[in-house]
Amino acid sequence: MITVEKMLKIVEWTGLAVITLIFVFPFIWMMITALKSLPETVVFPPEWIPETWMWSNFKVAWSSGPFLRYFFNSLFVAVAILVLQILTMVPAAYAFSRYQFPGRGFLFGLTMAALMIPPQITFLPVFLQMSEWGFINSYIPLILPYAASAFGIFLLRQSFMQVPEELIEAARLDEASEWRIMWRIMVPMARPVLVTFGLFSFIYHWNDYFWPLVMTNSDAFRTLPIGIAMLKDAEGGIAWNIVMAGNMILVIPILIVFFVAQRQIIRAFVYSGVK
Amino acid sequence: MSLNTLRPYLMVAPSLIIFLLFFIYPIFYMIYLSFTSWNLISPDKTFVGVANYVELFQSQDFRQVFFNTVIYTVLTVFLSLTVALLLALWLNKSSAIYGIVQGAIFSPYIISLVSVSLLWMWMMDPQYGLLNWVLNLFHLPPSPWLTHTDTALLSLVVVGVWKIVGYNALVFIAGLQSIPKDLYEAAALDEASQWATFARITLPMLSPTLFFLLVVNTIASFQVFDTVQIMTQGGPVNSTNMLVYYIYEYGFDFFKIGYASAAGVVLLVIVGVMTVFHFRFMAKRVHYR
Amino acid sequence: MAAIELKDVSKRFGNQTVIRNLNLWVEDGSFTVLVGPSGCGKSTTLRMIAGLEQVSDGEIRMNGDPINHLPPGKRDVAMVFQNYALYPTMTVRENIEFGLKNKKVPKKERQQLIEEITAVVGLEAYLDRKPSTLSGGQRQRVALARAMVKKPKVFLMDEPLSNLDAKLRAQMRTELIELHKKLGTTFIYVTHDQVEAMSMGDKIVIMNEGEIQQATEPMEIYQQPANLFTALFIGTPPMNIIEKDKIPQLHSHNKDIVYVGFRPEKVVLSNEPLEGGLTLPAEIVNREILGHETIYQMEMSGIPFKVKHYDHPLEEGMRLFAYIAYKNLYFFDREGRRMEVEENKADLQTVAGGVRVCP
Ligand SMILES: Nc1ncnc2c1ncn2[C@@H]1O[C@H](COP(=O)(O)OP(=O)(O)OP(=O)(O)O)[C@@H](O)[C@H]1O
Ligand SMILES: [Mg+2]
Repeated sequence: MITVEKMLKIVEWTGLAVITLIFVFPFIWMMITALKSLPETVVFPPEWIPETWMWSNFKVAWSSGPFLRYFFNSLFVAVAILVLQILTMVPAAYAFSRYQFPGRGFLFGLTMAALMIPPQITFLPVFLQMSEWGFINSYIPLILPYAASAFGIFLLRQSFMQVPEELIEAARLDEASEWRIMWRIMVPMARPVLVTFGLFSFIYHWNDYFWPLVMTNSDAFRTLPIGIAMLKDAEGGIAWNIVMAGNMILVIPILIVFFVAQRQIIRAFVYSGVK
Repeated sequence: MSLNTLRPYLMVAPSLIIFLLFFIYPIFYMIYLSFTSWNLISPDKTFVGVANYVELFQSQDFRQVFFNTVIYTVLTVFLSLTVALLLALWLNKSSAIYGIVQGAIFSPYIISLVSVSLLWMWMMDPQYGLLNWVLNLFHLPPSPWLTHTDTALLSLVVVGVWKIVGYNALVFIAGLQSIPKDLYEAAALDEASQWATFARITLPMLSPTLFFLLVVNTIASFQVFDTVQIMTQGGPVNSTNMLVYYIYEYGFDFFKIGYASAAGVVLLVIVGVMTVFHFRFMAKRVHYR
Repeated sequence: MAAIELKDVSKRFGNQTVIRNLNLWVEDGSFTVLVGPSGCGKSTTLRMIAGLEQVSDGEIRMNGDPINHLPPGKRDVAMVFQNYALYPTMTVRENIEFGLKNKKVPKKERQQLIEEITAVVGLEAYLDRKPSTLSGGQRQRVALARAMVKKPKVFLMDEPLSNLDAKLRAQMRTELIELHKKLGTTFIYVTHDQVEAMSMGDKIVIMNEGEIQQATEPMEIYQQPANLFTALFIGTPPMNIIEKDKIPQLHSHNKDIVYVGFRPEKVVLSNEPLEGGLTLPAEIVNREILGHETIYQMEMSGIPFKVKHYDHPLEEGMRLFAYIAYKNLYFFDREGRRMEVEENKADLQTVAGGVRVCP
């Protein structure tokens, strides 16, 4: 007997499957394409399974440009930004949450203003400034503007404000310097927030295309997203199998991180956005 | 001055120097540049008053670009919020399977826009693309997607929605979960219908979340760039050219710095107004609590 | 070891004066208890000694040297907080060690000190646990160990027992007293609990509204309250205070006497008037039987007062004579200051707290 309830259940499960497919299948399609031979990409209707699995596509993609360099640049820039951000935001958040000083409100207002100004607005003047200083073609324009994070300061300040004052007083009585209080008392207590922020910052800068595109014009400093996007500009039309193979190189690290730390990542993006 | 008085300033200084140098000052520099004519090569910038703005507002191209941006924003925001809300209401359940689906719809959000653009470009290939195969499956005529002025902008909207809808849905779910359960219990005791419960409890309680997403999505959509640059380069015939790409083109391809800056100031004003809106609302919300 | 002296210390928050011209001498090696109602400035005083709060006026001295300008870490004091203020991300060992590390004590010495101290407070088994996994009493001990390990000259404690349940509190009270004996260091202890104050302190400082009301030994506070405030603050139930004019039985020529006081436990109930003291005819309106003692609510022509007795309970509604020996009467002037009135201290043999009722 098929009851109405069972029917509804079936409909719902089918729906869930379709939804999942819409969001996941493109990635599967990317992998399938990445393993096809070039002729297999230009048939219609498309082939589902490649005849021979062209693992060599990855090699072709990787050697079609200085991809090791791109990969290193991406990693270096994202890590350098994160390290600098943490070094600058911890003292700033500590001062904003724990000190009374003239101008505090104004300076925090400036921080919030920086939070609201997107790079899509400032890229032209910042580029001009950087080239005036002769910094184009170095890591500086990629890293320095992001060396401090208004968003991070905001998040961390909230978290620091939760730390009971008594704890800081106890540390002062223990002869701890302000520096030590920051790094040994406050930072460990704000660990979840720092992990959240770290994931957010790393993923954002690993993925970022706009800023490196604008700020670089030599292969030496280009990052992976730029390199991958340039794959499609190959002479003699787009070889989609190669482009998708390159694409995998960009996506796989993030997908792995996402599988490992799905909860934290979702929290990093969703809940920190809401608060 | 003693170290104690200086200390907080020293603590905030590194961050604030960065903000001033790379966020605050560039804004003023851009406003200044928008009143000059400069081609990057010549050593001096000539002051031209509001000439750039006049040129901007008289330009047919700019008008179209602006229009494209608005259409793109309205469609992307409307579609992604509506679909996200429906998904959220559907998927806001605790069993594991819903968790998996939530993870799946969220995954595009953390993938680089470069990957997303390339992937969709490939799927939207008019000859060999997967999407036309799907249309074929349902006996629909194939679409030219990115290659035709009628469909190119809509194609970008599809990509934009696909990328962000999962994020929106998860924020909605977070909002739904923060609604106190006893409200629903009270409604159930009052024998309120499902629709009444949704219209009188869920939607009003969700309105701060909705507003937050509305603002964030609108600001983000207004600055769309990556998909345009990778998938269409503004074409065909300017049908997908939008503000940030326009500024980029004039700055980096045509070297009309003053003109590009004037367009930048327009974008600044729009984003500024929306941000002020946002803060007004946030301040009000604090009152309500 | 150190003596602490506060000279004309004042503290203002904004334009609100919280402490006014406070003068206090804390003897070297004493167990001094600051006690008083909530908001009277006990914590503020303690925090000024610790250096967590700056004085607005006056001077704080340790062994004669001013320490106003020293930051908290350099004053050689340790503090135990009400909520313990243990570092939640550090283990018990790291909590205790933190101050030593900041002082750059060599590792070997640190280990030795920690062993020594944890043996004293009985925490050996918990050294590698986080504070969140410990019970209230154990956390209290960690807080003590953290304070002790620095071998400070003065221990400051701000209501350290108030988060413990009654039984544990009594136990810790005894332990603290013993600890003080063992260490011989100066303890300054804040509480708003008079029982704690009386049982622990060898000197009690009663404060009210930022001023010291009386500072002396516990028994003296009980026997010789300086004013109405201290008289009412120490003792349960508090001293009975009656306006002199309402007691016609009391003959005195001293015009300055405005209030008369006597402690509930110093009243003798009898069914006939007695000589040599004040005798008040009264009725038992209500009684509260607590097992080992009984508290009676009495009334004498509309004036209520309380009596505490340790004998078997008497019935409500009984009409009796309440007798208070003259030496147990206290006299206060209009401002509430206690007056020494020698003529009334006629020596009379009565059994305090006894009952002379013939059934
Ligand atoms: N940082 C501060 N700013 C303003 N007023 C304060 C501050 N700290 C304390 N006060 C005020 O000073 C007065 C004394 O406070 P204090 O904490 O010393 O009282 P206390 O005797 O310890 O009371 P309790 O028994 O409740 O702990 C109170 O009126 C309090 O409101
Ligand atoms: Mg207090």
